[in-house]
Amino acid sequence: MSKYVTTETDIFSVFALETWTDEDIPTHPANYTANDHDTEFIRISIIPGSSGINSNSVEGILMIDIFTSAGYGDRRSLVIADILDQFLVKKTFSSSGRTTQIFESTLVSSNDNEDETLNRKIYTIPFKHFGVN
Amino acid sequence: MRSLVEEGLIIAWEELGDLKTEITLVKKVNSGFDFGTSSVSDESSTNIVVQAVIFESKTRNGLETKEVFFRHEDVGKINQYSKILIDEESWDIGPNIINDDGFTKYLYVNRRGR
Repeated sequence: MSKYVTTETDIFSVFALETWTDEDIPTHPANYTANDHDTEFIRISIIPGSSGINSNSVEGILMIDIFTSAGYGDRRSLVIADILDQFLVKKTFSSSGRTTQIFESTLVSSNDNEDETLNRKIYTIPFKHFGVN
Repeated sequence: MRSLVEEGLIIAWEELGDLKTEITLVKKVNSGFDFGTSSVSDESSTNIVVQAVIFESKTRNGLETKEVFFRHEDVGKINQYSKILIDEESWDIGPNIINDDGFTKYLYVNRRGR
């Protein structure tokens, strides 16, 4: 597998965990059309950036949009961000000679709401993926 | 003690008579995307029809809200549903549950911009 696919596989493995699904937060990848209009969900985008230490390595940003119901304050968004931290911050995934490391998160508000019934926060966290040539 | 409350609830629920309305709860498809295989599943949402007591609507800042009262045994965990259909109109389930005592559920549903 290439570095981009293996990076996605490593990061998505977090959201396939039963402990994550037990959190009951609908989770969608970018470029996915959900059947339901959820009032709360997250959307995951993996944004590769510069190449890493070799041609099979890559660094980038994991960007997660946190959507909650508009008009109910920010607390639920912050709770979801804290839950994401538990699953992602400083985590390392290693298999078949490759490693993906995830670092510290930041959370910002977004004024660019795609749906006026939803409140959007943007959770970002850098990652590094190391592969072997 | 629990069975005593349940028996009382059955009688009280019957007494509500035509104050109850049939509504449809639409179950969430929990993503529909499999993060283990990075692929989309073809699962579709399923509905259940239950009886509930619907209280009058209130509108504030463009957000119309109703209060809905169910029996717990009819609906189970409320977070398994994405929305409620009342008279075939779709309402979102609000994040705030007014009361959930394990026997009944009392919650807000809302919609915007009508």
